Amino acid sequence: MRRQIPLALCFIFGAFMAIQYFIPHHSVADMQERILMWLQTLLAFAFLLGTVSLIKVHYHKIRNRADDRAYSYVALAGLLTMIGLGFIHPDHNLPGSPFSLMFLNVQVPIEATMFSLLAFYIASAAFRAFRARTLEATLLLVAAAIVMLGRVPIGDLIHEGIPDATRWILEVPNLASKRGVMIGVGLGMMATALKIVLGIERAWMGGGD
Amino acid sequence: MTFIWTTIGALLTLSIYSFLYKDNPFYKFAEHLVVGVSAGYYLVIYYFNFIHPNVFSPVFLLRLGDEPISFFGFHWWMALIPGVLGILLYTRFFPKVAWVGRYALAVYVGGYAGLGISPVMQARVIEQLRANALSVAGVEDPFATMTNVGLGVVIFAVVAYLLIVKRNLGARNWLGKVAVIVVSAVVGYAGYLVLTLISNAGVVSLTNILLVVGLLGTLTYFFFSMKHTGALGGLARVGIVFLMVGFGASFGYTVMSRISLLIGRVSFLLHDWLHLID
Amino acid sequence: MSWAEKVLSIDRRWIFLAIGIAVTIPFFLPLGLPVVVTPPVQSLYDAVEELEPNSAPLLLSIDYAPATLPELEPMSMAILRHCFRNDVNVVVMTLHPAGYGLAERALLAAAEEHDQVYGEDYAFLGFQPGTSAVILGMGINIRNVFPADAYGVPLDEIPIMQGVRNYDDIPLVISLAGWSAAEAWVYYAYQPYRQRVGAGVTAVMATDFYPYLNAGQLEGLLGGMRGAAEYEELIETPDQGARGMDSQSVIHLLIIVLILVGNIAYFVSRKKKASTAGAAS
Repeated sequence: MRRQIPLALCFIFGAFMAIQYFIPHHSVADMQERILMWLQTLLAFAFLLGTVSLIKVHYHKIRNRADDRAYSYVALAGLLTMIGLGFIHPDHNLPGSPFSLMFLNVQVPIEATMFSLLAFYIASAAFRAFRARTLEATLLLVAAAIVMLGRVPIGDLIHEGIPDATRWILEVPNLASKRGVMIGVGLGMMATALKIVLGIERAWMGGGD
Repeated sequence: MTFIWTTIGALLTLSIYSFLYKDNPFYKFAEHLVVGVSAGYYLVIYYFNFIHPNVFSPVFLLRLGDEPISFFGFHWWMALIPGVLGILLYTRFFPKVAWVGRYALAVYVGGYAGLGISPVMQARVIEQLRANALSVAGVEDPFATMTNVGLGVVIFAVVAYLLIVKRNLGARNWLGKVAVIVVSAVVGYAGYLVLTLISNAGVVSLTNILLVVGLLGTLTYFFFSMKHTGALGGLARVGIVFLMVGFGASFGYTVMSRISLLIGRVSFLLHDWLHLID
Repeated sequence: MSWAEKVLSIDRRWIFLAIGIAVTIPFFLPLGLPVVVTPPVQSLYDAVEELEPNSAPLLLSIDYAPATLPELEPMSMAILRHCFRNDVNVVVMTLHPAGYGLAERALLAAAEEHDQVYGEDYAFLGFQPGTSAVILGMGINIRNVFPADAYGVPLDEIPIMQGVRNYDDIPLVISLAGWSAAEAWVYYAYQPYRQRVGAGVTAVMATDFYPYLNAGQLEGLLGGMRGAAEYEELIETPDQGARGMDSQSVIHLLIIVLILVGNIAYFVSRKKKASTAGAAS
């Protein structure tokens, strides 16, 4: 019951969504629409699982009087502020609303800046870790250097052949290798999807009975 | 008012950048703030853009868009069932009844898995194989020059490798090594000239041959059912060369991408906040 | 300690400082180097240029988040400006929740620049979750997925959405994404419906999209800030993309120098260690 019915449901929905592409009948299309809506609903609820987990984690930190619980208050305050601005303010979805301003001036700068830290780390890694120890590593670094120069205007200035070499690298060896990887990964994705639908792959059910 | 909001954004930006010196309370504050704010933002967006109009409103307010719907009617059930399934996902937080969430997960996982089988096969496998089934003769080759240069470099590298490593020439002194390099360069250049003659004749497209060989080599490299020895090993080795060049291109682009993110933030600080640049 | 070992043991915060200075200086001392347009960007530009004015709308899916804003927002501004300049109707949507605020910001900024009127020249459909489900659903009927726009106005009441039922009525879709959304448009819009799709992606992902471009599954491809700069060059409106190219040039040179210096120092110190070990034995 606890495993058989979910496996059966997985097969029914998976098989239907796989074969509906090949049945051009309006009743199948109608059912496809319904199921797509169901999948969207499930995804929406699944996404919000993260929010519940977040509240749980920080609540426990506060309750257990962890050393850094002050920051948990900050996180929960941010969460409640946005929920309050979104649910209480009548026009939260309009530009210029407090909800929108908080997003654009708090979330956007912080998130964008966090990812921009990677620029510093990649420069540090370039200096400390990128070593041409083997032929393959040398090949990688040479190709990277050509592409890095070719994709900025200064590459044109250094030598007119650099942008041409960059374009060749992207559209010949890069294309061939990425295509090979794409085909391999595509076959793997298909195999995994089939295994899930047919119930061979059951890791999504988790442990227990 | 705009300047106040921009200043808040700028100060939060600088708080994050303070981490580059060392971890500090300003960074931690900004980090935790964004975690809470983004979670709240996504919750509101998901609720008002999808959950309210497609689940809450039909089930509790008996309205689908502007149209009223009937209680226990078809549309009511079509809104209730996925809503209940969605709520069942939250049973994972209660270990004794967590197994109930499998029903919802089954629909979700099975549905999305089945949805992707055909398009992925078509887009990633069939179309790519079709695109790489190239004519190697009698077609124009826009990359002929660069392909010949590339192959000339490969010839140089192979000759240098064979002479230095395999034949151990030039091992005694630097002058010997330089002589070997010069000889290899001459052979590589000669190879380039020969390939140019072949390209100019328009008989074969060396670029298309490279694309086909590259794809076969890459696929061979990932084929682990047979040992990579002999011809198969040689082809896998060719595949490694193509993969390394591809990864090098990806690495170059990755550096470009990360730098762009930094440029964006500096632009925000200098232009939007401090108005120091146009 | 030899010079090589000293170089290798340098505190990384000096490298951070060098990067910070290198990225800032070109903003004050611009190099003004020209940006050369490459074929993938030209193809996408031509596809947009061919669209008929005041007719079937371009569907622009702004699927990026704040993390990839500096690369993708310049693309969205450039494409929107191109469309509005040519009087091409634009419908914007997003598959990412953070894209809601960012798409709205870009759309309203570009629309204000060109005095565009909401509903008559452009529309914003908002966000819907479920990527593949959304894209497939729109192929059947857009109103099944987006019954109303982001502000609750039914699509039937929006002039530019009159007669736009599904992909048959949309000449081109462009996805600007820093995640798998752009690929999803190829899988679920191009493959089943043969909908013309163009993509703007982050530079990290750009190399992975060349197979799609080569196979004809994409009309064109913008890769990273450089792609945005090239598009701005084509529409003759340099903005964030073009402005960033000078800093990009300087930093790329700096990183290549760092790689070279790091490798030289490494091999020198390794050789020294080997000769010291040999002398000791």
